[in-house]
Amino acid sequence: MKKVAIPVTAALLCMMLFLNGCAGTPEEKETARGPKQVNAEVLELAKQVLAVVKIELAERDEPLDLPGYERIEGPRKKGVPIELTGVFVEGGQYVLVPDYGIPLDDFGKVTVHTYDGREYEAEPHSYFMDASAMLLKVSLGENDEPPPSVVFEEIDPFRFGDSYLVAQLLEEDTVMRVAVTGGSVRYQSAEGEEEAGHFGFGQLGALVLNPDGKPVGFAVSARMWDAPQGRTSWRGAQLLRSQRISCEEMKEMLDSLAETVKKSVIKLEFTYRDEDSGPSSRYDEYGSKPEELFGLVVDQKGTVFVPQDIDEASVKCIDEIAFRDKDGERHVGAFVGLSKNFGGFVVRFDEMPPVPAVRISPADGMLKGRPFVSAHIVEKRGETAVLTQFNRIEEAKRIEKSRYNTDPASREDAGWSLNARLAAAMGDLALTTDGGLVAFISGIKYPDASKTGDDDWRYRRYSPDYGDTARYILCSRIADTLAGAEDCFEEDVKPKTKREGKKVVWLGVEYQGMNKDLAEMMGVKGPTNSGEKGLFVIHVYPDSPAAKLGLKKGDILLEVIPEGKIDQKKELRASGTHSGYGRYGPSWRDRRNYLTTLLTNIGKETEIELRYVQDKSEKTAKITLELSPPDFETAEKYKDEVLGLTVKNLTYEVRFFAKLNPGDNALVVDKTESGRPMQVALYTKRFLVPERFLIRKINDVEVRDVRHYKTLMKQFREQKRESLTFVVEHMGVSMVMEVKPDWSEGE
Amino acid sequence: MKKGIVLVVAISLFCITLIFAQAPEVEPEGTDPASSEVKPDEIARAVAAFQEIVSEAKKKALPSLVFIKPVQERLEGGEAKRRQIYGSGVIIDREGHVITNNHVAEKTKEIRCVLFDKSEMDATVVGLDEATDLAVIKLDLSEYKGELPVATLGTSSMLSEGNFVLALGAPMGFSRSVSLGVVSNLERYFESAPYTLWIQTDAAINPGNSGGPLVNLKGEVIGINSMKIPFADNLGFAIPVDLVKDVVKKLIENAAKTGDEGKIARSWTGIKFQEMKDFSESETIKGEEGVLVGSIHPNSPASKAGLRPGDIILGVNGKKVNCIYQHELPATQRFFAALPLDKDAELTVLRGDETTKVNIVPKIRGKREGDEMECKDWGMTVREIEPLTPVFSHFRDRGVFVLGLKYKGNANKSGLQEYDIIVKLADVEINSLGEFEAEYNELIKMEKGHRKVLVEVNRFGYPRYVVVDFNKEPEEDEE
Repeated sequence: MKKVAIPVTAALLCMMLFLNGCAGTPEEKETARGPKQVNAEVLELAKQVLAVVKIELAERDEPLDLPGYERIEGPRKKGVPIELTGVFVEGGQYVLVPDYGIPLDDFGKVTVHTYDGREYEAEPHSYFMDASAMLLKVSLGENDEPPPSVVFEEIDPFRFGDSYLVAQLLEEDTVMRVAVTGGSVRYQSAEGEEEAGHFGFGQLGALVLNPDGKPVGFAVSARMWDAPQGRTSWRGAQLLRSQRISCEEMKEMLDSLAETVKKSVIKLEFTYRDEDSGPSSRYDEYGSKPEELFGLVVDQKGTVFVPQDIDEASVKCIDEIAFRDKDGERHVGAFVGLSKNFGGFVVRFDEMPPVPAVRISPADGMLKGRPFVSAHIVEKRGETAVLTQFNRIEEAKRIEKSRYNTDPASREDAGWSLNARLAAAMGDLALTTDGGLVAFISGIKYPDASKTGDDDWRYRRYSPDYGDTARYILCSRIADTLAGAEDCFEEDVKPKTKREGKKVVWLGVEYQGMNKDLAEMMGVKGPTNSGEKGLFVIHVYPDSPAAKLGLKKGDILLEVIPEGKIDQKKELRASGTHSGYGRYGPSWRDRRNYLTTLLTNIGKETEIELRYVQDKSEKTAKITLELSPPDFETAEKYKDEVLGLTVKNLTYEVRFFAKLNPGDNALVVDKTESGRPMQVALYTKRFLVPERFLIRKINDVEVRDVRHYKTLMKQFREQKRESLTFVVEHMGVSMVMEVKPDWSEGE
Repeated sequence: MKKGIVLVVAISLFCITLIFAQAPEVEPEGTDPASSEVKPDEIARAVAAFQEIVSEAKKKALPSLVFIKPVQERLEGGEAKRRQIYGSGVIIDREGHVITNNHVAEKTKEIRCVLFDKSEMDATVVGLDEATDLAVIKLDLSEYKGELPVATLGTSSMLSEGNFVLALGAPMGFSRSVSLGVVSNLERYFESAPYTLWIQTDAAINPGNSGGPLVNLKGEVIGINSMKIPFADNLGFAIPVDLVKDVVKKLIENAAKTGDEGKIARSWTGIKFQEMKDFSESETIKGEEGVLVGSIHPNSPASKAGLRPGDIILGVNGKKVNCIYQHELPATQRFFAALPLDKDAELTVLRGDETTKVNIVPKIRGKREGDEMECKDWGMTVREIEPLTPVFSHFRDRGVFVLGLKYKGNANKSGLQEYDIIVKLADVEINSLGEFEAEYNELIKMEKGHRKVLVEVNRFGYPRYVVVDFNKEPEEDEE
């Protein structure tokens, strides 16, 4: 959160209003003392009790790796102090200032300046637990007069519509100015606040006074951007009586919490498969593939929770997730699931060394005004560091699960949207002051979030994370996710083997592109726009969605409309079709083509409307997209080191091309290794096609599939066979060959 | 010729060197007459004798050599194109029958021959046999005066490696050439010539030698030169004369009987045979006797009989069959080709450990290369698919495929490609060249301006639709 802008802009606007004076209702003008008199008294008070506090920043070897730390580092680099406005309290011994969120170690020399030019030194003394304010202790010499201080009057809280005054001291170009403005109360206080109120626009660190000029409180936080005109929270007399924590205690608490959390944090290392994950949306192509992420151990069963989002494309490419324990030993875990409601995922390690689990607080809410400790995890020089800060909830809202879905049932709340005072990054933790993990920063996923254009097929992502509105997810609400319950996770988002990642959604057709002549000849000039669009069906695979639909050779596919959304309709058009000519002659076509890519991008289980032409009449049909059965690319395969070949199961498109009968069994050879037994045998027999041929039999046994092959080879190994008789086939011509296995390889 | 002389000289020099290397120092007195071997003049005499033998052989064989200059019409380029080629032949009888290669005499529009005495005449095709690459043509002797020199056909069964042979022919059009070499090997087999066991020789054989005789030192024809390995030196191949005699006789007889172009009817079982040799260590195939079934052609007598790859045929009609080595394949294949057509043949088949009797009814063996046709209006040539046509017959076992396309022709511009199998023209399914021709001829009668037809093809296994627009007139070739 950037509160830097607030005092500056507040100051500027203040100046404008300064000239206008303050408002007051006509009635008040009559009953109270005249505005002019009030103003004069307020000014006088302000001049005495207000202070400008300049906090010089201590030197640091390197900036802290905290989100939002630029507002500290910036002034430090420029060599300028951070300026806050405050007020002398408690007999002038302390200065009350808003808590700007400066880490204690960054406090350098602190000077306090008054309107009339007095200067005192001060140092951080204590923090208020229930308000974002702190006390600085004024250094007074033995003989020094303490500065005049303010005493807050105990009065009735403001009512809606009441007017108020705020007074603030500003230094501009070394000249001190007092600014007094006013407004009327526009909001009632939210729950959990005492003697607090929301104003219309106000300033941070200003003295709050009632229309009679009596000081009643101090403005501790302000939100510029809240509609309609920003809000300010202030605290009254109760503040000074409320619970405080000394700086030493604060430091101790923050350090000890950091230590505690650190014990449960592990650094996960991700490695990815080095190839593309198949047809995907534009977003998936740019998968971020994070290499290191921090995870929290959440139980003694090896469950690790990572409060970070990871995109689906990266998940699918994950090769290995590992971490090194304190002895340097490497442990490999398994990806369990990516949450479908927020940005986080679960990993499980079967063999987890004893790492203390983080204690999860059962707190069901983090209410407004409550303090908590933010923890930000970073890595510094190979060491995990947990940076803790004292923080507070400023805004708490219930989240509606589905913003765009008008179905009332789906509008149940998905938790709280909490806005805290300090800036935070995704994955930051919120801890209670006694160390329980309450929440973490993430984003909410809307199931049917905005899908724009053609490319957003399944990339449902967060509600926009505008600037300051980081969201906290309460741990008490995600117990199921932390336990690894299947239904909490996004379906089908898991690391894929290379084979699985290439699965396509199919209709079950082979097609060719359309052209003007073809359109005219087939009498479909209109529907295809003179051959500009349309896919001509040239083959329908049996038992496919197309077959079930009754599509046949000669039909023309025109359009696909996903889920009835006309604005997302896709006109089908193909420029050229790839032939299946392989390295050694004609071969089957890859099932990854324009149409399957398009359908895969729409997504399986999506209902689509297909518009097509059959027998010269236009038709439409509703289909629920499904994944195709295995094809050559995704078929189960086995690399046989003994013979130096890779075999794959027969798949539907290979069967079609090789003209096999439904009951025929065979294996497809994907490739053979040069110099190894199979290729040697092939070349000896002048069978000059070393790949994409079929194996029909081994030693007179018809080979059914890869598993059967493995079983057979195992048997042959046990039987110590010195020679195996293969029947191989290519393009309808078979050959009997003897292959001499090299049993020294493989197992 | 030059090479032959060089060879002779080289051999002589070699022998001479050897002799001198062995001879001890000649001592004038006290020398043992038995110690020195061959005298220089004896070498000269040996060489002279050899030369004499070679000359005699040449004298006997060369006059019957024919320089054949056919004009072939080929359709590979998308249109009928004629070109002059060169080949050789040998006269085998007074009627003027000449043996040559099938690839010299096929698809010819005219054949011009030049004899050894430089007289020229035309010839006509008597018979062709693609399977053995042999052909018989007949010289037009109507204007010939004199006696026709006739070659003596020897026998190839007595040949042995190292025998000297002469190759006669017209390499690269250099007619009446003689080259000398030896028989390099007698057991060569190529799958493209299933009935031939080739003679390999290092006598120079080049394009143009095709069809010419390979002659022994007696001047007898022992082979017909047909092939060489491209880019290799001295690897030439000739068809052994024993096979030639058999084929030529049948061709002439068949031509006389039918009055048509002679051809040889062979039986076809649909079995692709493999030698047993590799399976000596096999635990499922005993490699001692019989012949191995390697592949079964779909819709063939063998497939109908239920034969399977891996079966071993031990005998036919009680007679044992053995094909242990690759060089025994031609004999085995000839044996099966000679089985009576359309008559039951009983095979003794070993499958695994069981021996059974299987009946098979051989059918007539078809061609590998079908007939061709030119389609001028489309700028395209097609060839009929035969059951034995490799690859194409796998995708579709009948019909025609696009043999060639003219670059600027209508078919090419419309998107047809070479090797597309034409499945349908308009809505008519095409099952033969005849059907194609009939439909095509109808189509080209279409009204100008409306000349478009939907063609369904099979392109490397997948259907495809192409609209052929042949409104444009075929361009004349730029000369």
